[in-house]
Amino acid sequence: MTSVVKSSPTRRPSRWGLPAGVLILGAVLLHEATDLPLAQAYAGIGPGFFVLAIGLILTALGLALGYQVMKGTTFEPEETEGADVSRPMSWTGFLTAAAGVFLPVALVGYAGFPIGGAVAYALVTRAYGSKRPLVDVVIGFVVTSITWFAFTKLGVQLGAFFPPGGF
Amino acid sequence: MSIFDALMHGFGVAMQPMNLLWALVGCALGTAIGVLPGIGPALTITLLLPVTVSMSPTAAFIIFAGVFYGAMYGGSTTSILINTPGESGSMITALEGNKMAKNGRGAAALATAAIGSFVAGTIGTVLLTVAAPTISEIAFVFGPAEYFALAVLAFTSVSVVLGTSILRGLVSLFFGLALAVMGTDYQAGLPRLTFGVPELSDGIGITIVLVAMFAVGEILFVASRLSQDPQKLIEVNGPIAMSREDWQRSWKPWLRGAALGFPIGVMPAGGSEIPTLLSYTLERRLSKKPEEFGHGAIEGVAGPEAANNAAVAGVMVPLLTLGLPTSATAAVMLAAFQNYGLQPGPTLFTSNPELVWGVIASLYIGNLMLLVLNLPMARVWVKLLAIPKPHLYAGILIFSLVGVWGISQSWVELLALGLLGLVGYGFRCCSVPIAPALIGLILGPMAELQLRRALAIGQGDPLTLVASPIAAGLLVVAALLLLIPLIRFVQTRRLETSTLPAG
Repeated sequence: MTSVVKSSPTRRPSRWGLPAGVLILGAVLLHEATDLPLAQAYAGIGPGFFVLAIGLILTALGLALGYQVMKGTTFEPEETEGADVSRPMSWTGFLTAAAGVFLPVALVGYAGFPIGGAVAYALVTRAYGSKRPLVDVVIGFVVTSITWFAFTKLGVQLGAFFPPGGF
Repeated sequence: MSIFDALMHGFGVAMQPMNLLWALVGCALGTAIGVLPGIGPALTITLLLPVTVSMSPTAAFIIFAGVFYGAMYGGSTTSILINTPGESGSMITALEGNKMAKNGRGAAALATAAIGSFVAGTIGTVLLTVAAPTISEIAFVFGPAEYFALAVLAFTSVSVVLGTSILRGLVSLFFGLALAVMGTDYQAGLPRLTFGVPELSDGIGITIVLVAMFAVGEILFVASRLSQDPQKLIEVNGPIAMSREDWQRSWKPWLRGAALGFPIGVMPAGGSEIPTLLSYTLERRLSKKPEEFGHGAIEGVAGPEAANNAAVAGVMVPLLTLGLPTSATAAVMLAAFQNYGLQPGPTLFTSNPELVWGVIASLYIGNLMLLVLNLPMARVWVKLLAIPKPHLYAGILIFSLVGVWGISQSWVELLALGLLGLVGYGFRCCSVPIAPALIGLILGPMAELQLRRALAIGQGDPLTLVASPIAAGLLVVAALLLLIPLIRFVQTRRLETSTLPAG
């Protein structure tokens, strides 16, 4: 069980991140709700009602989580297949994988899905311990090219194969 | 038309060669993703959505149902042979199943899991066949107030039941609801939470949220805490079969598992975790050899495996009759119905009998296919685990990119995928369950719509929400679900303080 575990002074996993995140989200919704009409003729409630209610509840939840943290609750990571949650977080692994997720945002549009995808592929394999980046880029390119052809054939629009080349 | 005639008609649809082929594709795909880590049925169906838009809804849902059932079969194989449950519903199976495999009884464990899944899956499907039309008849009296109450009940129950803490379950739910209100308000035409981004004016796509939270979040999380232990696959020699004694010890747990799994699957927030756990506890208590539990008792595999497959059939009941998803996978299937412009609910049985009965009939066929695919071929499926981890997770990312890029080729949506993936990562770091967010996202708009309708009918009087006994009853149950754990918490607190010695 990963629920309420008392914190030890030596190891301090994420504590304030969760309540802070929830409070920020609640604040964003409350701010948005101020611009929206709460009530509407005939309908009883207007478009702002749900936004306001969700914002208020999120704020309350954030405060409750903050209270839990003050009382010493820590939020342990979830048991996941293939992951060892007792190990400390590896920033290298995380950032490499995150680069694989965020690079395609720019790359896929300019260089096309197969190339953008191949780079993402190689970055994720790297994050998972592969030590042959060039081989991985090639494998990635083969995988993304096959994917591109197969899905285009199935009627899914994945854009041009290589936009700078115009095809 | 009687239920039997309708079902026979459904078999006529499901037995068409192409539909049989789709059922086989779905079952094989489901078994494969059940075996593989990092990808589950909800994510698979999401990634299939862009591919299936050009198919008929009947063919698409035959595939989806095959994936849903197949994942349960595949998950049990890995639980037994390498002690890594591919699906949450197979967690309990790993307890006894893996011990059995270590004691050289892997073949019997695989057999009781597969045959038990088949028996319970078929019983569950029979119960679904009988219960669904009946419940859909009752649902005809449901008005906006009842639907709103039903959504509230689904909200509270998923938050309370799933995950380790109610507070975090609620955080997840309201995060999903916050995403659900994004976009243009349909009544007043006002933009809500769009922050001036034109791509958000239609709200945020369910596919993006799902792929981000399930796939991207998982890729980031596992990369940041990569396990260094090599997986130990236990070899199974000989045919996958059971001895006479195994049969004697298995058949009662199968039936009891089915009896637990189906009704709990039907209930809001059923899912497959709770019935498997209950079945395990029950078998342990009823067993003549309780000392074997923890060391490889076959009852501990037979019962929970039966329970999780019956629960899957149960989950289909509220989905088809009320349009109410009670698990992440069911939520995705509801989204798929909406993609086709179909609203599951009582009218679906009269307006699209081909679809509903074709899919139900294909569940019977799919179960039989899965038995054949899994019993003799369990070793073949395990070979999938030979795919190196780096390439498996990289491949999952590529399919995620296809799923999102294929919608509208917009970089804004790829950015949303990444950002929500970070949220999914954060959820995993703090053990916040993901399913409540999906239920909130998918049921949120329905809840808001029905609340507004109900209030408009009642001319703004909030008491109309509890005017009918059904709506009031559902809301009371929803409130109790939230209050009971709270009361228990306060009580244990009081007990702790009163038993403490003074001073």
